[in-house]
Amino acid sequence: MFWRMLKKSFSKGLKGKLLAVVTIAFGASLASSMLNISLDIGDKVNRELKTYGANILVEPRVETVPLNIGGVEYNPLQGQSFLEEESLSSLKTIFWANNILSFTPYLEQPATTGNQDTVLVGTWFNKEITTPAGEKVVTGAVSLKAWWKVNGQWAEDSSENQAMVGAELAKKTGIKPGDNVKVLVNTPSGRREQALKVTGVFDSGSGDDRKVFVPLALIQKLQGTSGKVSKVEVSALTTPENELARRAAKDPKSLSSEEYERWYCTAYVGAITYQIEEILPGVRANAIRQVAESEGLILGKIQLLMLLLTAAALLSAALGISSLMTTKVLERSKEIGLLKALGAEGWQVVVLFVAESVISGIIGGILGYLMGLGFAQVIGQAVFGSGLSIKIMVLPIVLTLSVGVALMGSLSAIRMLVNLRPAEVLHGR
Amino acid sequence: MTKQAMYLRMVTAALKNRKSRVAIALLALVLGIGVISGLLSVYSDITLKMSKELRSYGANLVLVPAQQQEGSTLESAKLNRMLEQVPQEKTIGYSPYLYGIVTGNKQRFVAVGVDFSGIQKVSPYWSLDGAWPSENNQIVVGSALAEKLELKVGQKLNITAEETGKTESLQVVGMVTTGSTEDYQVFLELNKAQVLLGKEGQIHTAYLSVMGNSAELITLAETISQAEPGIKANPIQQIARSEGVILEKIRTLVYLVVIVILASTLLCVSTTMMAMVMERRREIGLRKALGATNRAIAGEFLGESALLGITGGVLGSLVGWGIAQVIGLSVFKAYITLRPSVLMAVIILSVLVAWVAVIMPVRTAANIEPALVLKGE
Repeated sequence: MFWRMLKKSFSKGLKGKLLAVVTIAFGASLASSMLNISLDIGDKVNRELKTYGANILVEPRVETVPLNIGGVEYNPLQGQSFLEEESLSSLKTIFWANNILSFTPYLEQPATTGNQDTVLVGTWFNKEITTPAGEKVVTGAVSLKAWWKVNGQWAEDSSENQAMVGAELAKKTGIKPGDNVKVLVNTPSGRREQALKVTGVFDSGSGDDRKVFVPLALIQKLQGTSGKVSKVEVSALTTPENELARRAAKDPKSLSSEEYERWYCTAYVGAITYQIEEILPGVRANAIRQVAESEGLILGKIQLLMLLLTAAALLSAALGISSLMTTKVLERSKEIGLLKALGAEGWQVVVLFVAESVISGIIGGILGYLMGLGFAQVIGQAVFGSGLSIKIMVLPIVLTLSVGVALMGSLSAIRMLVNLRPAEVLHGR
Repeated sequence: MTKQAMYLRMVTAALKNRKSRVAIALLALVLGIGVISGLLSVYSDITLKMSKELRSYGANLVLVPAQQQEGSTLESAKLNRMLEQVPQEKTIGYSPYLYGIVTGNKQRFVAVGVDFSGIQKVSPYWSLDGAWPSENNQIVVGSALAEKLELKVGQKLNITAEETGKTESLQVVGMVTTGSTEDYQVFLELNKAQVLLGKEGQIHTAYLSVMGNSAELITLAETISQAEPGIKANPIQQIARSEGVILEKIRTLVYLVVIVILASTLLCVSTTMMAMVMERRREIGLRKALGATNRAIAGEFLGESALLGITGGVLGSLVGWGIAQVIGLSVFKAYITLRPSVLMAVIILSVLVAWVAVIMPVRTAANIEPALVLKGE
């Protein structure tokens, strides 16, 4: 009899139920899209923040103290130790390899063009390398310096004389994309002239605007340092630092083995630099705090903001659903009165209505979850220009939420109705 | 009794007699409008708050001598005069820098004269072990350099300037880690550095952290460069640019959420209003039978919902103010400014929502056939 009543209530009162299910689905879709977004926003914003530049600097461990003033090195012995270009591909084999978005090596050479002093920076632009595991990876300045505004083309790694000139230097010397320029460099074999073909002028908004970027191989040839690089910039996705990360930064050995495991397996910038130092012996991998710290801070803020937004959206969805359920139950006061007049116990009425709301909640919840996935993709595309990754854990949360809220909404109304006197209700107040 | 008074009486009575229904609709409206007004307040304040947060990145304006030859310096008096050009409320902080090569513990390294209170504001990302100097003879040492010199916090360090040959005995009170060149430098109070390096009243560069987007930064840099011909201001635009991008994304997100919440509030109020109309079919039928026009009935519903909307809007903006402060305090650790424009917009919005919600029910009410309803369906 119970099942029959339940079935009837869904088949006969379909129109009324539809509104409830649609409302629940709408609320649930709101909840699931917001949850999806707030779970994924860390990753998304982290990628946006990559415009702050690399957050890890890898240098050879040196005995001398660098005398760097405003980007100019005054120690003649500095810059004489190198990293092997070949070993860099192993950066892609550390535990957090997937979090290393890009990296590029540098080798610098002071030069003069026109009457301007400048620095030639040898680097990778869009280099394909093969990791020890045999995987092919493309990395270099094109991905690392994504925020550069380039007028013209990026230089190519395979060429020996292409160059990209910084905007400030280009302005001073009148160099334009497509020009052929000559630079004077002091090499071990004496002062020589090098012809460069300018493929593009870049505006980085930083000190790099006074430099000239050329393929790494060219500087190696000029200096006779084939296969060597002086430093590597790495851009990695990281987790904001917490107490554990700060303690580990001071001394990883102070952690208990369990803490160490947790630290090592979390993408803290400290854990990533530690793993880089493990895999490349003789290097010092530094977290560039200026970038790493700001990223962590901003990321934390945005995640918190998103969490609060989600809570607000959930609140409004919950309220919408529960007020609708209340209305729907109140509408059926006559039916309840009749049931009671026919001898139904209070609890029997409650069970019937609870079952109805649970079913509506589940159907609405599943529909809403699917709709929410669509919404999240639309929002992801609109805001970040890429879809959001689908998190399965959202489904149970959304289902519990929609069933719970539907129940809550109808229960308060049912309680009111169960206490009504059948005669009064049926008479019509 | 005048017509207006009757109308008013009918409208208020309609609300009074259905307390539980009205309470549900009002609650939905108050919370929906509350969340929206809270988000709108945050939305209008977010640019300011977030760009303050984004200043954690450090300096975005570098002042250098216009004639950049090796070792050229600025007069610090000139710098102070020029800083008056920068609006006070926009300046987060600034610090002058004076560099020199010194020796100590048999190593050559770079000593930097700075303004410690300024540095803390310009570069909040510096990680300091120990304390910031409070006296003239106290210094902060880069952590990598401290390791090389085998220095600990509290120890003394004698440094000799290479150019002047002067020696000072200084006390290490803190160690700084930045992951950059600072790790190999020693920082001391500017006045002390000027005496030690023989460069009284001079500095090499100054780093400023000011609020503003990319365009404002460029304008400010130009103003400074023109006001003082000896000084060139270089904006570090890299950060300003990405700030703009990130802010835009956050604003879009908040905007989308507001729209979605608006829709859900609308739906909720609308279903409640619909239920109210359905309940009152008999009453409406009776009034129509007594000669009420469709317009009169629609007018009454609109009046009811306007009353609901205004109450909801006023209460909602109170709730919203609370929500905005919760978000402001927990995310930005600062209060969100209360804007009259947001208040007005929210109350108008609330009335609009209530009206839109009532359109469907009013249509149903207008189509009621008195005879059918009064007979009992």
